[in-house]
Amino acid sequence: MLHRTSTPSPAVRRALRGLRLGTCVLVASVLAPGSARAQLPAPPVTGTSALQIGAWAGVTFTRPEHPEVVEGVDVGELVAAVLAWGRITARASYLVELDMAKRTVETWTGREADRRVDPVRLYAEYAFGDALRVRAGRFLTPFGNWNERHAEPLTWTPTRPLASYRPFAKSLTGVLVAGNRPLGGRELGWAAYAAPGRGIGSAFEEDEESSFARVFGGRVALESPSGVTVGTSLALGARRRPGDPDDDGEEERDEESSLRPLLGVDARWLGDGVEISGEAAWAPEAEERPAEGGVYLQGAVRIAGPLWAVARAESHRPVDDRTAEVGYAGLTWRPGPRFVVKLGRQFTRRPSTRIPDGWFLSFSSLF
Amino acid sequence: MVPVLLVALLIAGGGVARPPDLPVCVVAHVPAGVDPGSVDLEWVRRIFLVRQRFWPDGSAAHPVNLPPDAPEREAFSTVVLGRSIRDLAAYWNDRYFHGTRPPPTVASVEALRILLERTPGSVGYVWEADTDALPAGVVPLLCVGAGGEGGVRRPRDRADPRPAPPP
Repeated sequence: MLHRTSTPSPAVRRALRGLRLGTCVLVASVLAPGSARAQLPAPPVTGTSALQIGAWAGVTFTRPEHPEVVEGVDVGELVAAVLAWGRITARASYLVELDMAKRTVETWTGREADRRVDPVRLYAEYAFGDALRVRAGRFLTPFGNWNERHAEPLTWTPTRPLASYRPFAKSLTGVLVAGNRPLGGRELGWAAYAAPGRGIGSAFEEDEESSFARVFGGRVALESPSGVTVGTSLALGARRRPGDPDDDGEEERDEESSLRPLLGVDARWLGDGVEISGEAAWAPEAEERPAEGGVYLQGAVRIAGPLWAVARAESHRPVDDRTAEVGYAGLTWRPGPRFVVKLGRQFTRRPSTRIPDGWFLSFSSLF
Repeated sequence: MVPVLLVALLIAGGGVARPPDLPVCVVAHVPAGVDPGSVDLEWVRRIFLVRQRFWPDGSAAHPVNLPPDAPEREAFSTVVLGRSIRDLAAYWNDRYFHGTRPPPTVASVEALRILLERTPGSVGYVWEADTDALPAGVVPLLCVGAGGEGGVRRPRDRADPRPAPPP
């Protein structure tokens, strides 16, 4: 009896070699000695006084390659946010973040307004200890590693990968418990949350492409001393998503009647002169809605001094009933610890309002 | 072969900090209910990265930095936190976005001594030679650097200046 075996194509062999190499690097980095620098889920507020004020701002100039298919994408966008936080007691604290503008390309085309004040975060927190904190109010959804550090001055690119925001709401209103503790020389962070109804932020959630009618979820991340953070996220939620356009062209929202799982994995490696990060999110088919998922891989390499080269590849489906494949390549200049200039080009085969192609130039700063 | 070499290089050279030429010691106004010997380097590192905010007895810890240009600060950052002050900028930017700033800075070692004396739960660092002039209530916890083959060691024998707890 003869058995026929198939030989993998050269492309598959190259992909397998790359996967094996990537796995080796990840495993070695988790094992390697060094020191931590990354961020764990739902970091605590640790104000030293009753009121501290901060801010960040960014301006992005866009030159769409195909302006005829891109509606509503501004040539220039200003995003400014004010942060206020403080310590009420040694264990109780609060944080407020008010965004003064919203990014157009990250919202949905049926939104009614794209310029107003949005309380992205508004919560109080009580720390029973470092391993257990309780937060109530409106907070950033701890899903993946990008969403909780999405501020322009902290990111490498002026555009945001779809997997970092499209499958879930960027902020939730509810209750969150979180903590962190050392684990064998590494740092373990965790967060679990419940947003059982539409709360104080519901009016603002209408601006987001995805919002949840109700959701429960959590995230666990392990940070190694060598700078590798690996995490996994799970959300069980009934989502409200833009549906088919009505007669006026407005996209009314459809609400899922049952909870649908959303699973995510992410990794980030901060080395000397290099940062590699990636996320994947996937929700299975449910209630006649197709499965949705996406993945991105991003790399930043120091060229000279504060100048970095940045590239990202991503795939996400469905976006407008299709699979979106998007690439980004550019330069990021960090002349000071808090000021960032980014210049890059985004590529995609099917540009649209949600995924414009063309040049992006942004200036941003923490204050 | 390449993955094997990469693994070996990463494990062998992954950011091991060189001990400073002079030993730097962590000093603290330890809360009454805490055994100074129970504190290790990992605890100190987490306190100064604001990953941990409480002493083992649950009281609040108050880490205090020396100025960025102080040689003790760079030695402490490199050896205890594992990165230079400059390399930690991105970490602190991320934490700033979540309402956390680096530990507050005092202007000099003398100012640090005064703050440590007046603030129970406070933690700082000085050269080992400066631990002889610590105020009452402040004790050295551990030292890092020259001596002990560059590793972590307990400071020179020194009587605990705190009053003995009631029987």
